[in-house]
Amino acid sequence: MSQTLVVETRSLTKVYRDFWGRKKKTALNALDLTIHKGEIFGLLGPNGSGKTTTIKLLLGLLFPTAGDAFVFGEPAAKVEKNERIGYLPEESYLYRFLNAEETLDFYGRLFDMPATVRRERAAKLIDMVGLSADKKRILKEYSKGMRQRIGLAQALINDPELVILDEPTSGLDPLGTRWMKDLILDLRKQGKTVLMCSHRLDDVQDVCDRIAILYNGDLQELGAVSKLVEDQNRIQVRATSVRESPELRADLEEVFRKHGGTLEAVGHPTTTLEELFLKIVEESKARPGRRYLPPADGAVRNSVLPS
Amino acid sequence: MTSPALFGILQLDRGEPYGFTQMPGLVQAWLQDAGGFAAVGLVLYLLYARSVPTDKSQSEKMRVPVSSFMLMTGLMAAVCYLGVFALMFLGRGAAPELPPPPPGSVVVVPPPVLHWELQPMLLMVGGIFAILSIGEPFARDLLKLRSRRIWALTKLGYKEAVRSRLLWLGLIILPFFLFRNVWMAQVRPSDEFRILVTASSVFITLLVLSTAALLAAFSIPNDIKNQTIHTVVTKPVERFEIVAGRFFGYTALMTAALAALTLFTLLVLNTANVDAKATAESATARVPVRGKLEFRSKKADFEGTNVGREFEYRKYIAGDPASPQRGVWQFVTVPAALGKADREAVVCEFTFDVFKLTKGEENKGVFCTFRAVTHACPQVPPKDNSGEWEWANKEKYKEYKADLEALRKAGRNPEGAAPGSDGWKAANELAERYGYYEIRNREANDHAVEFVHLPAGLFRNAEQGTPPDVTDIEGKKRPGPRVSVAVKCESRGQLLGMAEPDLYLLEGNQPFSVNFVKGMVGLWCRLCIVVGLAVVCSTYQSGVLSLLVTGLIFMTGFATDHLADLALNRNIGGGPFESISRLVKAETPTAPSSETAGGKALQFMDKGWAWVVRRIQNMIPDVESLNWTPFVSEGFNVNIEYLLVNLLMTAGYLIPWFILGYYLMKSREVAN
Repeated sequence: MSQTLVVETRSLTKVYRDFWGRKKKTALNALDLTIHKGEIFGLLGPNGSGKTTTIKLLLGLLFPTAGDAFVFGEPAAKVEKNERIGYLPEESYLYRFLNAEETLDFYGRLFDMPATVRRERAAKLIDMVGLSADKKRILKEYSKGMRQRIGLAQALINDPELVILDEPTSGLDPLGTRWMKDLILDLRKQGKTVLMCSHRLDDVQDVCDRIAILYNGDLQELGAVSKLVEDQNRIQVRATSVRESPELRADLEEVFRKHGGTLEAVGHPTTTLEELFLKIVEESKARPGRRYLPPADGAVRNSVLPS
Repeated sequence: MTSPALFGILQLDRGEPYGFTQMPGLVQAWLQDAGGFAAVGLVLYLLYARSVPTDKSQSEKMRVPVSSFMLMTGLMAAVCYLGVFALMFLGRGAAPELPPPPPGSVVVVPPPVLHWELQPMLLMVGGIFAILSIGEPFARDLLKLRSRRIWALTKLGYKEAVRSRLLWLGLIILPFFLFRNVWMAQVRPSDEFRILVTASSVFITLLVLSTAALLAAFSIPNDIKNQTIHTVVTKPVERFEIVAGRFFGYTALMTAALAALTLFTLLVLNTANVDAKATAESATARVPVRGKLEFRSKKADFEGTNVGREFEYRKYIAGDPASPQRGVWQFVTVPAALGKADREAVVCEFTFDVFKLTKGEENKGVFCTFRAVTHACPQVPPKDNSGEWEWANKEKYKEYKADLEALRKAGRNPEGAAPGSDGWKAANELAERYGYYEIRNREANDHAVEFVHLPAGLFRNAEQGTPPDVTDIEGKKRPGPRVSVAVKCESRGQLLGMAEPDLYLLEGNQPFSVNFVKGMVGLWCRLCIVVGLAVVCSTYQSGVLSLLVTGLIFMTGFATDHLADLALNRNIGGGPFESISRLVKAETPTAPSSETAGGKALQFMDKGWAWVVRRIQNMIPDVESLNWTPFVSEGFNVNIEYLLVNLLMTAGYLIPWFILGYYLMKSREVAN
């Protein structure tokens, strides 16, 4: 991974004050952060931890109380830096009286893009987010998921080098979530840097290279996801073509005892609910008319997964 | 020769509208006023720049820049203002102060004049430096603006308004015209057209301005509330582009609406079943040539008689065959069209106020003599008690008399001849030769528009040579008039009242429709002011507050005369502090002011209050000067020159507001 800095914050602090200038809340406290080119960086934390505040400070939507933020080496207050940024807000805050084509044309104009480039790029993005059939409908008539898709299209209209996504999977169904995660991974393949914030841990774990965990405005943890989730005190063994039995368990206990360890569990691995859902949808597409059949003996039977 | 209706009585109680001759004065006044606000803004900005970024981060330095140019020009402005204060303290270099009008009289704000004295010049230079200083970041950011982005934001505002269906409000105009017979039931047939024009203009004004204010005041606050602004400001968009985009968007939209309403109204006016005479009288656009009115008598300082009317718009001359008093309209420049070779006559229209001291004859006016002379035929006051002004060149007068007599004998009497007759041709010949024409004993009725014909030959004579300079009462030299029209009242015991706009030469007539559209240019300027104010206010306030503030500022513009009264601190009973004291002491407002130390302190505080009102006055748009409805409805041409000055004044008013909007928008955390 290249070590070119894309985002850097130095003791970035934001204090919200009331009308009289009295301190209401420290939303972010002396945040030091660096994000490198080509990585997917996740900001994690519960509600009110300072994730969105960090993003808004980087985008110039808020002004820092202290410290500084740099994007592409430029201060966050510099408008020109936005030429290289794409931003998808948490809710897709778009003009609801415009249709998809008009929306992308409007944002394209804000990037001072010539008409031909705008039209070409808008058509490509509408196709990419799967809204070709609905491109003439005004956004007021769109579902939340559709708005999130067109929101992503507007974030990519300028082919940005840094894509900032605030809760990108919010409002999306599992299929949409998968699509979004694939797209984020695809953006990395294209060499783009992605900064996303979410409180859906599985999403972050699936796509992020590095994460920062914020709590109450303070940075609590920072590092590569793979390293952070790794449990150094345990090891995992997987095997196929072998049946679970007391004998197997006894043999394994013996092996581990020999190496000074203790066997904790032997069983079948479980898939994620997301994987299960995707599999069912794929099969439904492949086999139209497929239905769930309750087992005749009353026992719980999985009719979907191959035995 | 008397028209029955009161058409054409254009009362210019605020004086002649501003033209190019007032531009230097207007520019100087603008630089002084806008410069004063810029200086205050600069002080506040520098204080903000010092206090806000606690650790001087690069972002904050970029957001609140303080350049050396800014500091240097700010310093120069400070030096200039200190100079002004020093001169004020020393009592030197002040502009000549106009004598305050007596309490109770109409406040006429004098037209701005360029002052070369040290104080006003230094104030102007200080203003220039202050504007340069506070305007430097604004000007620098203006270079970053991109037309494509502004156009995108303009189109956005346009589409939003169109799709919100607010423009359907424009259909309210239909009931206005559909129920015309109801609300015009009491109107005299002769007034129908004028009333229709006035009412429709007022209606369009209300409709357009209220819709524009509603749209513009809620635009940015709604963007912030719905957070749609987040996806805009995170693009390479300068904050001011949002302000400019909204301004242009709503102005364009409302301009289209105004154009549609104007065309529709014109269609209705042209096809409406209105009294034919009223249409003939008012559905035109007369092009008047106005002169400067001076009152003359044997006494050099005669300024007309005040008859004690509360409204001192007109001054009076005494009526008597032996009266030397005259109202003289002097025309320094005369359009060449009046003296064209093929022209026979020039119409001179007039409207006088008759103040009767005796009952006189029932339903009869007074009798007047009109004497029109050119610079080639100067007149001198009578030496005897005849009341007749005399030719300065006696020999020439003898020649004239001889020629006149010869023409009479030849059966071509020019006296009392009407255009088209042989006598009128003779009148033209005489007037062209001598620069003299007189109409005796023409009846003038109270407040009626009447006219006399002047031979075009008089104006051909006026074009010859250069008039000598004249010296006014104050001893100043100025160009002499080419043509003068002196009016004398012959009716004994009556007084004839006149104001400058009451007599004019008619150069020609323009089409009414074109004039109606020109009148709408004034409304368009008002529209720009409303949209500009509302958009700027909405950069930092909620929609409701923006609407209220815009409405308050704009509506105060209709009371600029009253504000001028307050600013001059010449209310009966003193200013607010003295008034409170009078209330507590139960003193009448007309009682003399207290000369005690306490009384003087109150008067001093009132002077301070008047100073504050003067500053507020500078923030208020002069919306009355943008109102051309009286011109259009009375059938007077709206001069293009006036409209150009209107446009410049509108731009001058909006520029400081836009600079304020720039700073407000830039300092706003849109996500907070």
